[in-house]
Amino acid sequence: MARLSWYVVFVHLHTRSWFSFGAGGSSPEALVTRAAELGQPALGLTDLHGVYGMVRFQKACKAMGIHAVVGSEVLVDGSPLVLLARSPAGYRDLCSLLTRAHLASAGLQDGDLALLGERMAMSGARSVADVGRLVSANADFANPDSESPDSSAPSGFGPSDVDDDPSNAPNVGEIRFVGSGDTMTPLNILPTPKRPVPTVTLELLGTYADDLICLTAGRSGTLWQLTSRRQDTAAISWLRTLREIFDDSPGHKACGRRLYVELMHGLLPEDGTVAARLHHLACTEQLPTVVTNDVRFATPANWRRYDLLTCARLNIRVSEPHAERPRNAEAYLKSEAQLRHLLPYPDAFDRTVEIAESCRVDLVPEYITPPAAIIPAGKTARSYLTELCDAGLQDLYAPDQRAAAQAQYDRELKVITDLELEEFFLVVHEVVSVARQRGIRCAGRGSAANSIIAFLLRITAVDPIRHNLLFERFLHGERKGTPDIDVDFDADRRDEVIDWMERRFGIEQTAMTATLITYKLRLALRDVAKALGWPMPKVDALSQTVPSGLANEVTEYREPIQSVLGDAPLVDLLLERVADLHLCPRHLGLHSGGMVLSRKPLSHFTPIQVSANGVKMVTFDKEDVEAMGLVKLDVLGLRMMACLSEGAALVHRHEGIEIDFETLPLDDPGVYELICSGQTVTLFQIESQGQMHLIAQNQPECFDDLVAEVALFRPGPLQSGMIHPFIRRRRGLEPVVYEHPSLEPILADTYGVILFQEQILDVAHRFAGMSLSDADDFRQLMSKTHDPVRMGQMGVQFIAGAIAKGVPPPIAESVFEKVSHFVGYGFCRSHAAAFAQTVYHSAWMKRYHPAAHLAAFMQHRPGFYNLMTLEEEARRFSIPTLLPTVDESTARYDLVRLSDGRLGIRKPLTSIKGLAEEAVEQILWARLAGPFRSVEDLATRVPDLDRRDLDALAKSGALDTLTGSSRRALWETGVVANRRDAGGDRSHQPSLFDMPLLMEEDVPDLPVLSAAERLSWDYRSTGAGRVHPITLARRHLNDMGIPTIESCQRTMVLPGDGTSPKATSNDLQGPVVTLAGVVIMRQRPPTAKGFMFVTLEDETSFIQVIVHPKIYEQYYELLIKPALLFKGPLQATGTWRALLAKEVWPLEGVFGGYAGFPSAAGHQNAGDAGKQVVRAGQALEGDGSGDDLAKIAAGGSVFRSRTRRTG
Amino acid sequence: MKSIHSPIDVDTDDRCRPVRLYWRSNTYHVSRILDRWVLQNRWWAREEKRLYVLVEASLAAGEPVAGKAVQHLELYLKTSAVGSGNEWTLARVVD
Repeated sequence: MARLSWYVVFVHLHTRSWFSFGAGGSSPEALVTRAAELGQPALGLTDLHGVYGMVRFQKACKAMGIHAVVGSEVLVDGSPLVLLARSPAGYRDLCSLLTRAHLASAGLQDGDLALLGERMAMSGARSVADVGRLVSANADFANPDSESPDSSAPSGFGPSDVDDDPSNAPNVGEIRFVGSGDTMTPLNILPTPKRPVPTVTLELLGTYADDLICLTAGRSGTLWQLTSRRQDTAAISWLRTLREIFDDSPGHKACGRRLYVELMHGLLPEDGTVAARLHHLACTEQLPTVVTNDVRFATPANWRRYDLLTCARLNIRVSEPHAERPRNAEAYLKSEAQLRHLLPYPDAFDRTVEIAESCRVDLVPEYITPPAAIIPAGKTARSYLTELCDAGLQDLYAPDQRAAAQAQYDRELKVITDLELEEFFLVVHEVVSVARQRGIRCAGRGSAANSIIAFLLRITAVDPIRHNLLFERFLHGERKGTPDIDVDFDADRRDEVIDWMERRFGIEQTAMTATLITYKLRLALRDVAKALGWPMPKVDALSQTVPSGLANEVTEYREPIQSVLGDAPLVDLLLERVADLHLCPRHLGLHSGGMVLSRKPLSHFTPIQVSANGVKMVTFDKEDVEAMGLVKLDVLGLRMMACLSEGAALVHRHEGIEIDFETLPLDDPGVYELICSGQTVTLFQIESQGQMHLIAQNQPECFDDLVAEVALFRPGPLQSGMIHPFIRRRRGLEPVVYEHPSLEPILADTYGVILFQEQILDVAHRFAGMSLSDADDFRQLMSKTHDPVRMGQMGVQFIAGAIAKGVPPPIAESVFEKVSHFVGYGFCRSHAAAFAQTVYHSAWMKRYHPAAHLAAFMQHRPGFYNLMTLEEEARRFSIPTLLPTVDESTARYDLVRLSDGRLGIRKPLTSIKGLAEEAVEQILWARLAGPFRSVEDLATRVPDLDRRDLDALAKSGALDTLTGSSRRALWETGVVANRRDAGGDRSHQPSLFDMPLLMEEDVPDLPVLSAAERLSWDYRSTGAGRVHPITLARRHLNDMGIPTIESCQRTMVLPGDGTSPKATSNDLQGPVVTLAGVVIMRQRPPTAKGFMFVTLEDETSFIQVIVHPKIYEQYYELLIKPALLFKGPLQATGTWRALLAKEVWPLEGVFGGYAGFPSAAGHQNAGDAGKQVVRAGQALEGDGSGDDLAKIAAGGSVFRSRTRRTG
Repeated sequence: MKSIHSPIDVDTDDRCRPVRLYWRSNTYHVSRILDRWVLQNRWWAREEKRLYVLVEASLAAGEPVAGKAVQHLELYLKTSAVGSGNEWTLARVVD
């Protein structure tokens, strides 16, 4: 940094941004802008407890030509101090201090970081408190002198030892999940109400103080507090304590002054007096002073946001006073003149510049710091990379294909070498190689699939030559930052990969990335409404009135909000404040898979924090990590990958066939036939109703069609209206036209429509003449940003560039119009291709090994249909799903060879609700000694099965083979458990003189379970029934002329209904029908303009019911019921059917109309002798709510069986 | 400390600093300004910012009042009134 301008004698050194998470009111960028407006050439950022905003701050400073001073406000023995880093070494020390502060807050010590390499999921821990117990338990175990009661094994570490009451676990934070479908991961929320504030000791500060400058902090600082109370002796003592740490005496190893007394005047009572006393104190102690304003926001306009965030953080209302709330709006970035007016201490102003000049830390270098690859002796990174790629080229390309591949490879290698990324690729290659050696299925995806080098190294499985993929989408010479490589792993074994990576690269060199959670519409509405004083029921109701969206869109929802709040005078204020929280950070979370790998300890770059579930993470998100030159690898768990691995294992075990997905040809007609039939439940990415409809129109016939299919159903193409033109052109129903000839080579293989992100980049680069870097920025803008100002600016650049290349202006504008409508996320081609491979593999499995595929799918549940639907799908494929049984079931879904040679699916013991995992283990171990002969035999050989476990087994049908019926099994488990437990010693081995626990006379004649009871027990036990619930209603439905859904699809062939491949893709309307079923899904997507989509299932099939907004309003209360009748015309597209709802009724009306709520079995009155559930030794099991069946739909629908129980 | 919260007439200088106070038929001469601060709390009620001043004042005639030669008086002005004339309030008298 050049010396600051001579006429500037002041720099703000103590400021907080909104990265103090509820303790600062402006973005770092806003602070920098304000400093620039004031002509201040430097600015310090000192967020509370961290450096979360530092990368953004430095980038903003560089953009504005301002020198950035890096620091943080740290609690030292409970007292805040401002610490500024003088050098990279000082920054490292600051990071170490902050790491230790956060560890202490989590109840951990320094050395515990190494133990956090253990995957908490594998150890069963659910909280950091559990980790703490693990640490102490292991310490005890290792110490032969420990007094642990059970010295044979570490104790206190099973779920039974964990305090399940979160309010009693001091370090448990909220755990929420993010992601959907295949990748769901728990997040932590930092800080949590239950965690103490991060703090370090003075002693620790002393260890790391050499290259730090300390300011005594403002009003909240100990020095200020003591001085304001005239406790001068204590104040002097505190100063002297600090001076010992920040010793600036000659001869000390750290040179220069490092301790400054902070003077501020926030225009509160006595501020001037206290400042004067502090100045006097500093002079007496011969310490320098420095002026700050303890800034909490950039301008006075941000004050209300700051106060609101403070109230939200403290969980108080705005009407409640609190010491931490601002009493005025003076804590903003003031001008030098304003401060001089308040603080007449010229030297203290000079020192701010002196300090700023002495602090030089750059977190945003122009280079990358990759992790260290293992390179064989005698080779360089480049030569080793070349060797591996050459081998790949020979293996993967036939001789006649190698020329094109070689040319691409040479081009990419040059870019990779220029960017010095050889080691990065070698590291990723090593990770996937080791995973495969361990039998862990994995595949790279995302933009990395555009790279032939990634393909040659087996990181990805998509041939970029074959699929015409654009390398520049992934990497180019002008790209800033590290390339983004995502690798999907078998979800079951992802933790093994992460463990290995931590050991391989070093505990200190690896951590997960954070993700920044900013205020979105719902959360902003909740927090602001709460703070403004609305009661919680209103707050809850409010958040239901708005969809997920951006906070600054709140005014679009004024009406529904007012319908909840009425004409309250604060509504306008509510809307104003919610919009003001747009982009404001709320908390830091854990990224689902981003792992940072570094060759240096990460503490050189960032503090490390520990999430509530014990995962180490850096305190920056992936953009900031990339800006710092660090390398991140997305290690993602894909449940479909686990499903494919498990399916292949089942096939190998039961059919002796080895499946190698990598070598499967991608052109099997049987696979496409299955897909086009619409039987896509359990197929990756294409099992939704929307996709089924799309498939019916698009009818993919080859792999490229599948790639397009995957890419079409994304917000980008959906909202830009690309789907219908694509399908119509592909089906030959309209001509393919290009607005300009230069677009043809870019869009030819997608029939002239924009489908992929690469095409946006290509259009911007080749059509509009943008540089690759600008084109990449443009692509990102189109995908992510809704900022009309930026889009407008980009539009001007785009159109001007196209015109400069000779494109007529109207065409340039029209093309930009089309491109700009590609708003929202769209896939890049390589990502779609990588996903399409998984689609194909899942379809191949279902086509040729449906039993194994469905069993594996039930095990891993990567889709969104519930178990009932999956079992119905299995039934449709003639694959019975067999009950769990204590004789044969294991802990996983498995296959069974039936007497007729078919394969059936055996449900596992783990599918039984209420049966503990330990109980399953014990049953499996005990069974090794031989099959169970009776309930008594089971209870005796597995004495740790408690009453709850035994009952769960009985009701699920798992004991039916021992007893003949579930009701009898339940009776027997009651008798046996009572007598066994009354004996006092469950582990007692029976002797000749012991009476049996159960004798025949103990079991009375018990009535058989009714169909409804059986269904009810099945759902409660395993989440699915032996028969579909609608079976119970079928007779009544037949009486009313209501057909099955399957017959409706099969027999109602409409004239010209599009079953011919050449038929129109338009949906046709058919006859009016009434259908009945269970609601297994309800969706009302924000893009659907108020339409609701209901998936209705009966015992034969399911169908989508489309509910127009008017019908939705009319039948809103009925539509939330679990089982319904819908009447309306059928809609047909090829083999796909939907029903357009015109009328809706509840299904229970089928059973006797309106005379109360009769049972499904026909009983009308409470006095009827209905079926009894009798349990030995216990009163009748009641289910007070009448909720007899377990939830059967993802949305929580419940089908009510009306069987009355009398006791 | 005695809470008053009553309007008071104030003469100010060209920098809006109180120089004379008129209250209960007495005229007070401000000898010095001891402190000043700003409070701005109830933004949700659109409440205005208040500029507070703690002054040392004595009766213009030099006569003590209630045995005191000087008094410390806490005044405030709402921001909408700045520069518009007399809308000062006497908040408290410091005993």
